[in-house]
Amino acid sequence: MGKYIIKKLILLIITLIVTSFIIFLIFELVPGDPVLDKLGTRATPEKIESLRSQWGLDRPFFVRYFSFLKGIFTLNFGMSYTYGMSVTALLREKIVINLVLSVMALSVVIFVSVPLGIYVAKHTGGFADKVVSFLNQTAMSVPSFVLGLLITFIFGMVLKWFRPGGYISYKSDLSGFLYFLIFPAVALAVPKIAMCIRLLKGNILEEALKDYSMTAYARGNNTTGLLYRHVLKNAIMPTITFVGMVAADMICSGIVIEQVFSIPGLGQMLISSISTRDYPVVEALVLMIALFIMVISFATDIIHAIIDPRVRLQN
Amino acid sequence: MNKIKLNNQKKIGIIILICMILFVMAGFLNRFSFDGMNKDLILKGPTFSHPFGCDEFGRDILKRTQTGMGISVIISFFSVLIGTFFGTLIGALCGYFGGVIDDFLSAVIDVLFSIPSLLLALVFVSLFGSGMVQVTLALGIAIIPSFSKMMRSEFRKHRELEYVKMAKLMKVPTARILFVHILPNVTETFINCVFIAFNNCILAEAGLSFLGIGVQPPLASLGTLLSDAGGYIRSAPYMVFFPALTLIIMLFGIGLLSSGESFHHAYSKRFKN
Repeated sequence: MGKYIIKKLILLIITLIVTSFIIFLIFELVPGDPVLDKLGTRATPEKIESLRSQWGLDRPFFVRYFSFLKGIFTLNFGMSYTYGMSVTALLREKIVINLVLSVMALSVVIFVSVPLGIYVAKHTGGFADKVVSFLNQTAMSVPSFVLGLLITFIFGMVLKWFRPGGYISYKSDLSGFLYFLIFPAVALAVPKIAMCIRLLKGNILEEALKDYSMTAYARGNNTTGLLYRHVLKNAIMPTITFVGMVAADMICSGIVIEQVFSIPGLGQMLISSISTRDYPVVEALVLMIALFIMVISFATDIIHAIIDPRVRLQN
Repeated sequence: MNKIKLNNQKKIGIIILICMILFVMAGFLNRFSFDGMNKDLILKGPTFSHPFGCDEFGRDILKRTQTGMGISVIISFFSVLIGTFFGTLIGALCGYFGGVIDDFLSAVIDVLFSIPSLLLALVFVSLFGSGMVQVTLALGIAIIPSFSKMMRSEFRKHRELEYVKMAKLMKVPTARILFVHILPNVTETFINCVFIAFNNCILAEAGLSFLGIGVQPPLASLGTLLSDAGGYIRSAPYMVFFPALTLIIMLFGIGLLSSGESFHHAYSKRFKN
């Protein structure tokens, strides 16, 4: 097990380095010069030169790349072009917001869809199954930002459970912050819950027809025992992979949801710094998101290995 | 070649899709112009002449929804075309030949697959600017990984089957085996993939336009309409309601056609071996 984790960890670091290089290279090759953009019509050769050296753009490509790479481990991504402050300080608060939002949405997904998926699989063809199937199909066709708008309208305007656009910073009021984030988290979670239930149900039904479950059934297990002791362990695997993907997707869907609920999170930062060509911020952000996705997939692999001995013995 | 069975679910899906196409077509008969402003009608609720109401510039929302839907569908159609072409090609090559090419391409695709397609599209748009062509390309590229993954596993399965081996013995050219012999046999997966991709495209396009980095004004897609309407949700909720409803019905119809399987479900089922 320890060997497996170390192997995966080394793989994670290699992927991180390769990804960081690709990200850095891409933004190096983008047409357009941030220095000229910033100076605009006031550009004189001396000013260009001085700003270039101030931002460190006069150094060769690989030197800059290595300082960027070093920045990943020391959490120092240089200075933002537009805000004139360090990227780390700029991003710290936003990352907290998005992490809390993603974790909340993810826990809603897990705590709703797993019990419901198991229940529906156990009672296939029943009334609850039909209702859930229909709701699933509907929930899957509502994009999360539309759901966000509807939630704003119903819970914000009609029922007045929260004040639309009234985001509260976690520094001033933690409980208010958490309460406000419930609504975007639900908007993020609902479409994923639908997919998750369908996936889990399909897998349970598929596993339940395999030879080993037939044998277990013949040995005298009742349906419940069969489900929890034999089938579920196998059936939950694809769901874990899927939840990992959902977690990665949460950050990205979060970008859109932030806009709906006017939360000053990573997404707004990303879009505004893309349009102002603030490359240190964009690079750091994209790298952060990529790192988040990698850590998630690492965690998924580890969980797989814990549950399923076949995975860790194979590797 | 298996005939594709139409169950009731798919029949309803087709009916919804046809209705939506008719709805977009009816936009050509609508006498209001797409961006004609009228200061007497600013934020006016639904009436008989403007069944969906009017927006903050007095533009007819019905006409804007019809045009916006048309634009969304056109973008998604071409993105799916791009994604399907390259996805099938890569998937077929990987699955059929295997070996070093397969290892390399699969590794690349695995990495791309783990990146959410919205982020891919976002980075692409940030590099090449926003606009209809860029969005179409970005979404098309974003589809390729998932599509080729599905097709790869199908081609891999069929490579081992008798009829392909027979064809090989008969010295049928490889390209012919791939696209004339195998492809028709995987039609069901293929069509499923296309509809799932179409669904995702409409979603992603709406998301991008909602963020203001998709289609640029004066053109507007459904996402743009919704993002404009978001600011007026207090005074004019109908501005959100009608475009949202149209989008939801459209996605519902496509969802029914893709036999209800979400992409990840289909993927996890087929990629196990």
